[in-house]
Amino acid sequence: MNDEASGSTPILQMRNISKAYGPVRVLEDVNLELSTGEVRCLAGENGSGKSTLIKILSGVVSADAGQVSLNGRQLGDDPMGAITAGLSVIYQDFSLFPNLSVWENIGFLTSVTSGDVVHRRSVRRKLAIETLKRMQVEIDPDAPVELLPVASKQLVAIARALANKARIIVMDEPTTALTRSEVAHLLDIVGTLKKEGVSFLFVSHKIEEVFAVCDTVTVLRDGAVVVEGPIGEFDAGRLVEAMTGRSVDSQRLPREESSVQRPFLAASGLGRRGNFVDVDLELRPGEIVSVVGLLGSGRTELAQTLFGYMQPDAGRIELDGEAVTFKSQHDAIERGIAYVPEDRLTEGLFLNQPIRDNITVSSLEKSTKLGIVSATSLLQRARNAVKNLRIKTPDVTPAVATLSGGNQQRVVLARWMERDPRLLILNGPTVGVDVGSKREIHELLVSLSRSGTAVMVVTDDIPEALALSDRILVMVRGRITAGFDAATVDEDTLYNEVIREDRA
Amino acid sequence: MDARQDTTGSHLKSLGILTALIFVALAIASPTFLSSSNLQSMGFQFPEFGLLSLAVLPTMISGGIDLSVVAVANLASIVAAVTMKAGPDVAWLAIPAGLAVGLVCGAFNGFLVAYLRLPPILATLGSMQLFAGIGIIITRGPAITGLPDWYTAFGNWTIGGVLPLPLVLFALVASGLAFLLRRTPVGMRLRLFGANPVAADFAGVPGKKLIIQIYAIAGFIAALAGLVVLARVNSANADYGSSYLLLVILINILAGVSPAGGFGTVTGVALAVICLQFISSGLNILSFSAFSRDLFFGGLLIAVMSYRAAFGSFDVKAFFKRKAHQS
Repeated sequence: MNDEASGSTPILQMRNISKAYGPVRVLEDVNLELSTGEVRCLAGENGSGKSTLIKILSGVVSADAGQVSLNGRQLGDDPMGAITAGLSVIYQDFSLFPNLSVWENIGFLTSVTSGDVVHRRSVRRKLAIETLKRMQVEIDPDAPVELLPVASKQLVAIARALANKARIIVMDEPTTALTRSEVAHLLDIVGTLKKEGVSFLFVSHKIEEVFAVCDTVTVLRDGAVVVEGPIGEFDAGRLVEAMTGRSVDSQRLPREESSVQRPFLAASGLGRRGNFVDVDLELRPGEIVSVVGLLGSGRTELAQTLFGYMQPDAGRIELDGEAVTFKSQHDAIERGIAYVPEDRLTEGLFLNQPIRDNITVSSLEKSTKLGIVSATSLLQRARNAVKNLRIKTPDVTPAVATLSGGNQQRVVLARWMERDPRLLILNGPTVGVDVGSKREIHELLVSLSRSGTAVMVVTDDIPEALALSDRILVMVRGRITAGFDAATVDEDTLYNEVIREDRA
Repeated sequence: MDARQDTTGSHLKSLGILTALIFVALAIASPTFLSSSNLQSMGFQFPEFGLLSLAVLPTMISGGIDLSVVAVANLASIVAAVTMKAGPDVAWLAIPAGLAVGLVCGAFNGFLVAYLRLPPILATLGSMQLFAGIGIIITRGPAITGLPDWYTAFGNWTIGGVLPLPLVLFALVASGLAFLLRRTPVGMRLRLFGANPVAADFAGVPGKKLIIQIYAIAGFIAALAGLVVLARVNSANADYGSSYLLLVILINILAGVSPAGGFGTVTGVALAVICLQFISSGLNILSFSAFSRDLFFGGLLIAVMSYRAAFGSFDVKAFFKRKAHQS
C-alpha cells in the first residue's frame, strides 16, 4: 500500500518544527513528509498541536524553529507564498464567501494569485465550470454559496483549491459536518484527484476514515510525533493507543464506592429541536456521569440546556424532585449548577485579567458587604484556591494568560468551586491539557464528587470517560443510545457505540 | 492567544511624569502660568470636559463607547433651563429634572446596546442625533438665556474663595466613579465583561443589566456636566460644545483606556484631562494662535498611540473591531 508513496520524492517536507506560546510548548521537533499522490492522515486528539502545525504549514503562524519546504523550495511565514507554491488549506468553516456565487468563489483565489487588475468574468466562470467537471460533481456554478448544503460547500472549497492549481490540499476535520453518503462521495473525489497526482493531508480523529482513505498516517500527541508510517502497519487499537497514550491515563482512578443517593437533577423526555431528543438523565450527588459523543452529537447543547444557557422545547427538568424552568443561566447558577465551557480561551477565561478576578468573578457577593467589595477577602480567597488546586503561579495578580493550559483550566474550576456547586457540568474538561495535569484534574473531580457534588462530564475522549466516570452515557445524533457502568465496560465496546452513526 | 498584559500601571506613571514635565516647563517659560488667576481659571474650565470624559470611561471599559454624552449634557441643560424659567414654584426641580434626563437617556442607550445588540458606536451615534434633535425642538433653535441669578452664581462660586465649585464637583464625581469601578461588584464585573463578554456570560455575570446600569451612569455624569456648563455660560443650547466629543475620546485614549474593553482608570482620565488643560492654557499664555491647540492635541494623541502600539499595550485594530455585545 505504501509503495506508491515511498517511491517518489517528497513534494512537501516539514523539518524539526517547534512552536511555543509563552510557557506552553505546542509543538516540539515535528517532522512530516508528503509525496506526490499520497494521502496522509494527521491524527491526534484535541489540543495535540494539529491545528498549529497546519497554520505553520500555511504560513499563518510562524514556527519558532524548523523549516517547511515545498518542491525543494523553502517557505516562509507568508500565506500568499504558500498558496502560489500550490498549497491549499481547507479549514473547518471552508472560508468561503457566502454571498458570492459558486464560480466567483472558485475563481477568487486565482484572480488574486495571478494579480488580475480587472475582473475577467468569462474566463473565471469557465475555469470554475471546468474544475467542477474535472471533479465530476454537479453544482450549479451560478448559485450563491450560502444556499448550498454543507457537503457542497466543501466541494466548492476543494474546487477552489484545484482551480488554483493546488498540488497539496490540506483538509482540517473534513467530515465532521457530513452525512455518511456525503463522506463516501468526498472520499471518491479524493481518490480521483490522487490519481492526478494531488497530495492530501487529512486532519482527523475519526478512525474509520483514516483507514478508508489514507496511505500513511502521522500521529501527534502533546505536540510531538508519537508514531508515523504506512497505514498497513496499524489497526484501530494501535492508532487509538497512539493518539490517546492510553497507558498513561486510561486507567480507572481508584475511588470509594458511594451509596446511591436521590438524584439532584433529573431530566425526562428533554428535547431541543435540531440538537437532541428524548433525553432521560439522572445526576446524583457523589456520582460522575460522562456523556460521550462526537462533535455534533448534541452533547454540548444538552450540557448548555441543563445549565439554562439554552432552553429546551420538550420534556422537563427536576431539581430535588421539583420541576424547574431556567429562563437563563442565572437561574441555574442560583440553584447551584455550574458549567465549565468547552473553549477555555474564548468562553471560559478573561485572559488579560488577573488570576484573582478570574477565580472570584462568580462569587463576588461572598466578599461584598453593604455593596462594597473587600479587596483583602478577594485576595485571600484567590490565594487559597491557588494553593488548594495547586495552580502553578507566583501570585494571583498576573494575567491568567501567563498560565499553561492545565493551570488555566484549574482557574475555571476554582471559580465554580468558590460557589460550592451542587452540580458541576464540564464540557471537555481536559482539552488541550498535558497528560500530567489531566490526571490531576481527574483526581480533583473524583474527590469533588465524593464530597457530595454531582458531576457531569461531556467529552469525546473515551479513555477520559473511562478513567473518570462512574456511569457513561453514549450520545449519537441527539439521542442517548446506551448507558454503561464505567467499571465494567471496555474501551472497544464504548468506541463502537460512539461511532454508530458512521456505521448506520 | 492574547497575552496582552495589564500595563495600566506603567502607563499611568509615564502619563503622570509627562503631565508634571509640561507643568514645570510652562511654569519656567511663563511666570503668569503659576498665577492664582490662571490656576483658578483652569479650575473653572476643565471640569466640564473632564466630567464628559469620566462619563465615557465606564462605557469604554465595557468594550463599548458613548458618543452621545455631549448631546445628553445639552439636553439635560435645556430641560433644566426650561424648568427654571417656568416659574419660581418649580425652579427647584431644575437640577433633579436635568439629572433624570441624563439617567433616562443613558438607560435608553444601554437598552439599544444590551437588548437590541446594536454596536455601541452606532447606537450612540444615532441617539446623539436623536437627543440633539429633541433639544432643538424644545428650544426651537436659539439658546435659552436669562436664567435666575441664584443658579448662575453656582458657576462662579468658589469654596473659601479658592476652589471653584465645578472643580470640587469634578473631584467628587471622579472619586465616586473610582470607588464604583474598584470597590463594587458592578465595577469589577464591568471590567471583566469588557475583557470577554462571552466568558462573562458563562460565568453568570448579568450582562444586560450591567450594560444598562453603565450607560445610565454615563448619562447621569454627562447630565451633571451639562448643568455645570449651564451655570457657567448662562445659556442652554442644543449644539453647545460639539468639538468636545472628539476631545473626550482623545482624553480616554490618552488615559490608557483600552478601546477593546477591560482596562481603564479614573486616575488616568484625571491626569489626561489635566495634561490637556495645561497644554491649552500654556499655549494661550505663550500667545500661540487658538487654532494651534488642535495641532498640539492631535500630535500628542498620535505620539501616545504610536508609543503604546510600539510597546504592545495598545491594539489599534481593536478600535475598529468594536462589535455588539453578545449576552
